[in-house]
Amino acid sequence: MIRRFVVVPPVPALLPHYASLHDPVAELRMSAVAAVQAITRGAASVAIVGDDPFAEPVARALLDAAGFGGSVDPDAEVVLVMANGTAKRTEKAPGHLDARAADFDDALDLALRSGAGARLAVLDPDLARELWASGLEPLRALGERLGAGWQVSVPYADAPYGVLWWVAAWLRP
Amino acid sequence: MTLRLGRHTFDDDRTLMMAIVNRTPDSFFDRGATWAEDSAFDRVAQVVGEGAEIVDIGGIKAAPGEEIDADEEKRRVVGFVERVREAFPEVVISVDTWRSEVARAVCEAGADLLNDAWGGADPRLAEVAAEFDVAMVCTHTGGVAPRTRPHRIEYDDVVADAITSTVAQAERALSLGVARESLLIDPAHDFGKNTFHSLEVTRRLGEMVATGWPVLVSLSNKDFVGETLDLPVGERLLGTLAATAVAATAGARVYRVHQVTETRQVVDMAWTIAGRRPPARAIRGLA
Repeated sequence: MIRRFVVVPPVPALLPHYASLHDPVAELRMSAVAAVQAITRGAASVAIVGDDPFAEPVARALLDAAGFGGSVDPDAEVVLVMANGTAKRTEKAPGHLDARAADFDDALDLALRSGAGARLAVLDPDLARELWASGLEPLRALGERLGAGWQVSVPYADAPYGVLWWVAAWLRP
Repeated sequence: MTLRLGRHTFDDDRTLMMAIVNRTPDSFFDRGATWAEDSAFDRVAQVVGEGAEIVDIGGIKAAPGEEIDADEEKRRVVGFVERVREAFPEVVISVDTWRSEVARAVCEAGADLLNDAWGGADPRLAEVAAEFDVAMVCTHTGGVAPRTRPHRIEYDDVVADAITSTVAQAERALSLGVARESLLIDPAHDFGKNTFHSLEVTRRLGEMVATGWPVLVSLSNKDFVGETLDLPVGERLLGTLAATAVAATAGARVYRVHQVTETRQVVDMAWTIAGRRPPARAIRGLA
């Protein structure tokens, strides 16, 4: 049974080999590492879910940065969900502007803050793919198994480079 | 290797800009623009603002000309070093001199680095560096006397000669008590070298870097650039920067320059391409 999970975006700039002199994602990094640290405290293993090629490497980089010494196990009770909102929010966004992006992100934002698995389970994975949102299929599948009444904290929600990123932690009360 | 230049220490991944500040009425590039002390002081303020870590103060132009004795050289640089030390404690003060007598006076006034641009012409200069625990640049001149032009000089292998000479000077300075992390070597472009020699030491600078001694290059607006491109002083910036990129790729650590901002950009770019420095801020395609 899943006891707690955190949603973090699979942002390549978080990888050590893509580091800059001046970290362009300092705030996200700080928030994500702190959340991963909190969620993995005392855990012997964690699961990583996501559907982006960067999901696994970024998750492992965050686990390293958080000082996690345990193992990665798909059946673990603690989960890192590598997901983000659309990348088509503005004309300068990586995927250029799509008028549907803002509504999609709003719906995802409400779902992530709801503490109710059912809200995640109804997100549209096909539209997500079109809008370059990642991790929505695994997030939806997770939602179906979660039930309601989770305690939620969202220490980070922003789109500084046209992709909406969240750091959102769900804990069973 | 970590560099210690007098009061200042720099990590081994750092490149440093050494800005030329002439207290001369007749140096080739600025033609006396900073001869007046206040003009030289303004030049220091400007290059520090542009990010130069080092200022290299010189009281005698390198080319032949009016004889400047040690007393006059001291009049030109010692008080000025004191003034710069007082106003810019964060900047490394280098003095370009071959005379140990002048070196002693500027060390007492607060110099951090002795740029022995005439390759050990006065062997006691290294003793002064040791006594004051300051840094020193060991240069290759092919044995010519200070302030002489190269005339029909030939080498079996100019790079081998430069390495043998500068490393011998560095090891001698080390044996006299100068700290290992305070010694640099400089092939000294155009000093005792025709244009072909300077081009060859540029092309093969990696061999000097491979000695393990940190390498300083002084390329700025020199005649080897001018003769290569057939351009007069004043139109040699692009050629200088091309040579700078080659030197940076090879791993030179310190760049003695007239134009700080332009050189800094070229060195940062080349150093980053070489994988020794991360980009300043990269997010394109990585969000």
